Amino acid sequence: MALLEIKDLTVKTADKEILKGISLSIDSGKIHAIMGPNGSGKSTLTHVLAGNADFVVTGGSIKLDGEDLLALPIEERARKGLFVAFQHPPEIPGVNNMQFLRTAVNTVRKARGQSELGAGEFLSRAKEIMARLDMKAEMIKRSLNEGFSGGEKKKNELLQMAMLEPKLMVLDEIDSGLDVDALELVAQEAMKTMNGDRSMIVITHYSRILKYIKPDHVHVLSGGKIIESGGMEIVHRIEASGYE
Amino acid sequence: MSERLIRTQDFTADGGLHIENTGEDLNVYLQFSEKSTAENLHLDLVLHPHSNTRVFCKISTATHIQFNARLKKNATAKFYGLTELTGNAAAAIGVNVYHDEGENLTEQNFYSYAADTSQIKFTGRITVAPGASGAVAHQLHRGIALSPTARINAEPFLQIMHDDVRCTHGSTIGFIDQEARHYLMARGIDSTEAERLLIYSSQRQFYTALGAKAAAEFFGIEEETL
Repeated sequence: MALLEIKDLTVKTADKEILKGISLSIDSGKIHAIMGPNGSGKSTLTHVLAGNADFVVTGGSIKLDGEDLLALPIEERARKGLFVAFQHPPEIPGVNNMQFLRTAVNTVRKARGQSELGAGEFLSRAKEIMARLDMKAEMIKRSLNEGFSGGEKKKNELLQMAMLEPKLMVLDEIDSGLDVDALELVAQEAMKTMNGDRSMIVITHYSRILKYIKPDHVHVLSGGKIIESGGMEIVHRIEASGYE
Repeated sequence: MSERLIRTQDFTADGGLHIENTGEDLNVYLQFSEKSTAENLHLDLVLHPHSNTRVFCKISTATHIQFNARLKKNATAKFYGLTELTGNAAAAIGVNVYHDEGENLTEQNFYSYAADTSQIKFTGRITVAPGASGAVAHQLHRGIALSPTARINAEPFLQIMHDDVRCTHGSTIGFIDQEARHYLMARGIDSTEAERLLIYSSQRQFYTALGAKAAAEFFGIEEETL
């Protein structure tokens, strides 16, 4: 059974149909890249997976581990193992990054029947990941994403992802706002978070992140439909001649 | 410093209470968690020269309270109010500060949180008398409606009858930030906890303004959140 099974998904927002019948099957342990030009519907798919109410599913189904994802409340999706790294994480002044992350981690762990992390163990794990991402130690003490640069926000998403230990990771344009060095660190952390049975969807406009995160399958989304699926040869072709 | 805790039953039958500060450092705590017998409560303060008064007011039930403060020279009056209503409760909070003389300071910091179909009205009035040179008055109200059917209304009134003064006022009213709420929930936090975190985020400015530990305890604020 596939970890994620999307069948004939159609989605509209503001009365405009964006996704026009998408089907996608992702097995455990596999990395899928979804590429496409601007306005093709890549981020819409992310919004639907994350449960954004502005995007209305008008047809089709999504199953995570055999369970109807669309019937699950937003927080249940995370607890069942879905993690969506946001393209534009919001700034939330007054909510401490550490307090938020510890609440999230322990809520998710509790829902999965795991023991909660004590303050010491939580901090020790967080610091280890932050060191790998070259994040300043003070960032865990600051308000959530407040005043973070684009790159810092993306690293903070990766910190959350690594701490939450999801089954399925969705990285939506994680490469935007990152310089070459930061991109490599983020990609390395994403690959470190992958283990035997975890899966990943990398949504990207450009091929550069796929130098570090090697996908098993590549899909091209255009006009709200998957128009091509294959392997790295698609990435090389897009790199050479674009989406035309 | 003197401290005085005032409850609903401390007001007279007609709803009045009078405090005269003749020059001390005074903290007044008011807690309204049960409905008063009087329809409208009013606390009248007279603040003599070199007196400092801080009024902390916590409202969680249907309440109509009016604060009236008259300031003489070199007096200070600071008001901190936190109103959190649920159900169909309605509260009206009014503050009238009169700078009868100059060289004095007033501050109003009021935060309102209305859930369900509750309603909160805040009316803040600053009056600076002619000749009150050096009067400084600040007024701030922040409101968050926690449901589409909750109502918050804020009305500032400034009556400045002298030039050499400094007065500011600001008011914002809105709903919980839905994007932020969604983000927190996408990390596994349920709706109630996400809203609690976001309310806390909004209240942080209020907590910071409080400063005093005793006041923080009065408002039920955990030390680690300060």
